[in-house]
Amino acid sequence: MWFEWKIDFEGQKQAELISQVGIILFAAIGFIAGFLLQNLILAFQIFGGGIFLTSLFVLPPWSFYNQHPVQWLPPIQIEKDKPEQEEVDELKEKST
Amino acid sequence: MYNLAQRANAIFAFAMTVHFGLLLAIAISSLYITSNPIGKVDVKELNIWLYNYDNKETEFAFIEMNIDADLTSLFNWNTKQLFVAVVAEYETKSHELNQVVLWDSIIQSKEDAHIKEDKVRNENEFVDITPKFGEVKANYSIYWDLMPYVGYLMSGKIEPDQSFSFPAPNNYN
Repeated sequence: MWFEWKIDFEGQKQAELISQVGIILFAAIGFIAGFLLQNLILAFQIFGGGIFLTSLFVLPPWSFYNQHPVQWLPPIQIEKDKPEQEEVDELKEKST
Repeated sequence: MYNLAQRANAIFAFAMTVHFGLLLAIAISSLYITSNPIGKVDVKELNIWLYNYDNKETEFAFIEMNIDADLTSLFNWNTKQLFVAVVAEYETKSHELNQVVLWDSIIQSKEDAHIKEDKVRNENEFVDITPKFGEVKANYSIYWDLMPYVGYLMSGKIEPDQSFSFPAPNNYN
């Protein structure tokens, strides 16, 4: 669906890395800035702004997250074998 | 992390954990912030009157003092408020340490941390646990308690450099 904002597996790895590095980085910057300027609210404003910025980077399905789509194998035809069909019928009888 | 809901949940959970780490960092770093509170209490007048209290004739002390203190160095980024109290401490024959709180105040900002109170009277009754004080000498110290936004409670005491003797009781009330 269009609203699911799907990304492929390589993109998920990248998104996880970017989000973790970004959030920790903004927490560190917020702490240092707040400590040097002796302002507690500033530290949390920087941290909150950092979470918002990281979300902008990670939540939407940017094209660089979809560079490695999953390579599905081509479909194979299943031949109907009689012995296999009989086993399936027996199992169905036992379960009902 | 394949769709929006998963990524949003993962980011939120991780952000909350890092948030707690940030609070822990603030709490621990506040242990290493130095401060230098200074202050003194000048006793202007000290009178002792006798009242009947609990069917005994009890000595009540009435004090008038000047309080001069500078507690601004205690205000760092993690200080929510300070509780300050002037405490009279003395020793009697029956009890080794007696403490009576004479005046207290809550300070909520750095600007209010310059305490300059003149002719302050004791807010609470200045009595001993026994009916008579006796001839005691009292020290008047300033105790402070720091309440942080996050972290450990700190407290300290500003010691005076002189002590005052109690006079004899004045009159009968």
